[in-house]
Amino acid sequence: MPTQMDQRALLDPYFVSKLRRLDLIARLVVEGFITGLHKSPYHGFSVEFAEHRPYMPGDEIRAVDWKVYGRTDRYFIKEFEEETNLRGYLLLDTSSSMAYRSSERLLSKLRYAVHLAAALSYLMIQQQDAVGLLLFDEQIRRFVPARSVPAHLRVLLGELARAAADPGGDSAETRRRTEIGRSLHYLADRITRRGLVVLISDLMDRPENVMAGLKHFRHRQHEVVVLHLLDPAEVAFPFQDELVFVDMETGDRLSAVSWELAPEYRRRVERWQRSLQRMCGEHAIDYLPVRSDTPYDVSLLRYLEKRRRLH
Amino acid sequence: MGPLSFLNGAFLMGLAAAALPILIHLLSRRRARDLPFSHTEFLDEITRRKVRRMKLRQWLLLLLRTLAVACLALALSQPVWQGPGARAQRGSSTIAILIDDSFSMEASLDPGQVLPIDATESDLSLATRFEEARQRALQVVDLLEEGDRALLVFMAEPVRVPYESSVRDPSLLREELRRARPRAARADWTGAFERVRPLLSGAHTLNREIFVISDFQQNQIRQRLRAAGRHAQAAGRDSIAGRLPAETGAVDGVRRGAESGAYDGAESGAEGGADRSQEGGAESGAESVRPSLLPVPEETHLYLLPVRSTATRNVALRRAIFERDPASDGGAVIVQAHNHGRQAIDELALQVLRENAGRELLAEGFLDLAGEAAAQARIAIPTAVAADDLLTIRSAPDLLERDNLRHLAAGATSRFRVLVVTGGPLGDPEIRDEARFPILALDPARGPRLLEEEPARGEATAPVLSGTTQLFDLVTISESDLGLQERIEADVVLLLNVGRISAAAAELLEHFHAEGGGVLIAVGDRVDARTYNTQILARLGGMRLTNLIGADPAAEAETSASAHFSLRPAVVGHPIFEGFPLAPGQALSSARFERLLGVRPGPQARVLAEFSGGHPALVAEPGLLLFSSALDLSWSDFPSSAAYLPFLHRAVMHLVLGGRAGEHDPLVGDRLRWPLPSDLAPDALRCLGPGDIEVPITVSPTERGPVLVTDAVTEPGFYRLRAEGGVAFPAIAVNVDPRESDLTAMTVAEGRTLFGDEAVRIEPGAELGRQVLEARFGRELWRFFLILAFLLLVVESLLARGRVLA
Repeated sequence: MPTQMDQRALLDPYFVSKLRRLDLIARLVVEGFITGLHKSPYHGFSVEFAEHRPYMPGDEIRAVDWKVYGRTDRYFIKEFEEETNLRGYLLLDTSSSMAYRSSERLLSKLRYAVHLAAALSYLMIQQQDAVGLLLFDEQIRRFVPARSVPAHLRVLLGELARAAADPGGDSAETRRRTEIGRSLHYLADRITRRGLVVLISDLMDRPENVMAGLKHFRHRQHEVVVLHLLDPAEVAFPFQDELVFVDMETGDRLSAVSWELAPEYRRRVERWQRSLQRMCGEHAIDYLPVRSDTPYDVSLLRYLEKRRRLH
Repeated sequence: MGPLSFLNGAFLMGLAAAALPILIHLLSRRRARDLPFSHTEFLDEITRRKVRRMKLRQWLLLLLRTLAVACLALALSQPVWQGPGARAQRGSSTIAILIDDSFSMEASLDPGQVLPIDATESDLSLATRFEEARQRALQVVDLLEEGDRALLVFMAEPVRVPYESSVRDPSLLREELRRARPRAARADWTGAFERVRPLLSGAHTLNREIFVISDFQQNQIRQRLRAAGRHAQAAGRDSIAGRLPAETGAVDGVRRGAESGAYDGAESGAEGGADRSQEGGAESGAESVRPSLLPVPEETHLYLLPVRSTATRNVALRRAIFERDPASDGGAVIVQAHNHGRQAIDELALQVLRENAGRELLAEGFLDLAGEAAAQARIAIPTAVAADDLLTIRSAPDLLERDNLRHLAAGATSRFRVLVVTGGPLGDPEIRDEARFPILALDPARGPRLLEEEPARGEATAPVLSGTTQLFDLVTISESDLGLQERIEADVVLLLNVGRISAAAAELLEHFHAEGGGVLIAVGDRVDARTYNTQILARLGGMRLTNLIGADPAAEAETSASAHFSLRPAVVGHPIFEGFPLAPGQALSSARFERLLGVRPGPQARVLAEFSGGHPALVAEPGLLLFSSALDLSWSDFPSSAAYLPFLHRAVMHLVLGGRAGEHDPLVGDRLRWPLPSDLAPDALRCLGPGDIEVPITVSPTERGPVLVTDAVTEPGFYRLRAEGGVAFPAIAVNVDPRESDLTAMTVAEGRTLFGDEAVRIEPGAELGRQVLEARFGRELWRFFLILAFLLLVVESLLARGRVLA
């Protein structure tokens, strides 16, 4: 049985990136995550009631069935069985900007997003939820409708692996811009049954476009989780030299003395993230800033939290 | 010099370093590398907003860095502002005080001088020129202020610099000045300025000043002017100055032209015509600013502080020769005295003293001296004079004591150098025949060899042991080779029937004559009067040749006129004819002259001898004798007469004594030389000077054997070489330089020519401080630029960190 340290390692993006097979990655991440959830408040929140068991130290107090306690004067914990009525959609941004990574020690945002999406897919399939996948950039690259059969996982992982293997290129033909709004509108129009939409993107689009698409989902009663994925360097802007910044989506070149721009850049990114967070909050959208060195469990936890709220 | 100058201009090259920030900027721009970035929209927005400010800041940074480096370079180059606004500032100074301590500065000030009514006690105590010079030097030292530096240079040869670098402490200078005494040497002007130049050139103060405190003896100033070929110009300006009294007016208490008249009328025949060259050589008075002819460092103020020198009445013994009488053990001393005063002196008392153990009076004589003229006396010594006797000739006291003594070693006889210029090479039989008699007469010992062999340079003059009667060293040269010489190293030049002469040779001859050399001209068949007058005589004096005059045998038959001319003295008492048993009107010899050239004497000429018929035969001008007939047998039988040899000897000696022969005698400041036997151990030798003071010696091997050389001697007197083992060496008499004896001061124009137009002359009694301090204004800007550089760097640092324009 893996130790606590091993379990954390399974959630570390860099460690996990050493594995080649995406299904293995997804399984390891989820199992590491689930094992870490043992004795956690989230255990059993997504299953139907199955039976009582005696309280054990470490169990959450609120899980105690106080009615049984009143009757028997003993502590019993309620245990649940899984549900199967959730339809989840993973929206993955595959634009060229997602291929950015600031260091060899880090994953590109795309790879991180793929791993995360794989883990989520695995988790959702394990919970017998239906999972769909949308790969997009400036246009819809791939749409996989949601299904809950275990074999569907292989389809999803296959698509994700192909997306990870094709991060775009440096030439004008292979560069892919981000147009989130259009993709969200597309999907919102396609899915009618209420479900959970998880958007994994760096949101390098105009905020009003992003919000328009998200609001479209909310309008159709979907629950939306936005995992705003950024590289640490995109937030901290640690550059010191005079550099020529080459836009990975447009190829534009911008010469700048980076240390002169850094403070203003950081302020702007912070303001941008706050703005997105505020707008998401206004529309009951979960907004989670994620960095590509963040352990996967943070994102998975946010998913589970959201799923629990759906029940 | 403009209002802005730099004390350390070499650092201005550092301004090039100001380009470094620009270069670094450009290079760093090139090094900017590409960095793929996810999304540049934010950056683009920021740069679009900030681009103007950032560019402004970048340019400002670049400007600040460039200016900071430039300011640093400027600070190091020590700029000085002397334009408007700088008057209130007084810049630091490095000054050199050149004080003349040659022996002329020992001259007493005129006892009859009228002191100003506000004369101080120190004025009253000024007994000599040097005392006054010392006081003026102390005044200069008193002008030193905080940050100033000074150095002291004593100009007598060898030049003495007590402190090898400038000193800040005026008390050191005052102490050195109080200890200083005039030395027996001559002034070394060039040497003094050359010592000063590197010391001042290396000074990085705002002002650099040279104060020359001297009696500015005219003959020395003129010597340097002649050497620079500027004598005529100075003379020309003198005459202008004489016509323009306004130039002599007082300017701010400084009498710039007070002595402009000193030169007028001072020229006299006996001295040797210092101003002969002005004819045809005067330059137009170009009014551009002339630099100093002495090595004065650039941008250095030169102040001339003459001492009072109105009293010039001084008699100097210029040279003395002991003429041994072969018939007896005695002989005679021929001594020449020069009266530098304007008033004639009757019966100047002269004494001949023997200074072997004590001082013994051997003989006395008297000499009449015209004003500003030289004369010679022959004082017979009735007693026996040994070869190793040391003789001193003494004259009556006057303003300057040192030159009233002339030392003479009886065992040593001066030999004088005569350059015989022939009309062609001696290999030509005709030329050889012409030169035979004069050469044999002047140098009977070496003459035959000269006539048989190719001409060679003579032996170097040196004292020779007693018993040698040879008086002249002869060197022969053809007129065509004369122009190839760099200078004439001789006491007398004998032009022997030289027809034409090249321009270079004529110029050389003129220079030689102007420096005091004697020229004896003997004519002959080759001499064309017109050519001679324009090419030679015009450069040397005022006399001119006219036509050829020949005796006419037919005329003798028809009239009482003679068929030949005889030679007879015109001035019977002249030294040339001394010793000739002549009755008035009697011919000098029985020689018969058939041809001669007519001579028109110039204004300064004296006809010393004439031919029958009243034709000038021997015409004298300063430094010049012209014999109007031939010295060979072609025009007369004079060479075969008994008078020929003494006549020729005396004529040459007249030129020797009237010229510069004495300059070759050992003088104070010279190094003495004794040839040594090769087997003598140098360790056993000691050279003792006056007062038995030992003089350092060195022995050097030469081709002719070892030679002992002393250090430069500093005192006049007798110097003996003592050797163990009884080896005898002749004593050497060392005398003071006669050029120091002429106390006449230079004129203003000569001073300007030599020291440059920008030299400021401050007369005795004029206010020294005001004149000097006013010239020291200026604002040194290096601190300003250093602070500015620092401030620029501070602003740059703040700007670079974004604290400015943020």
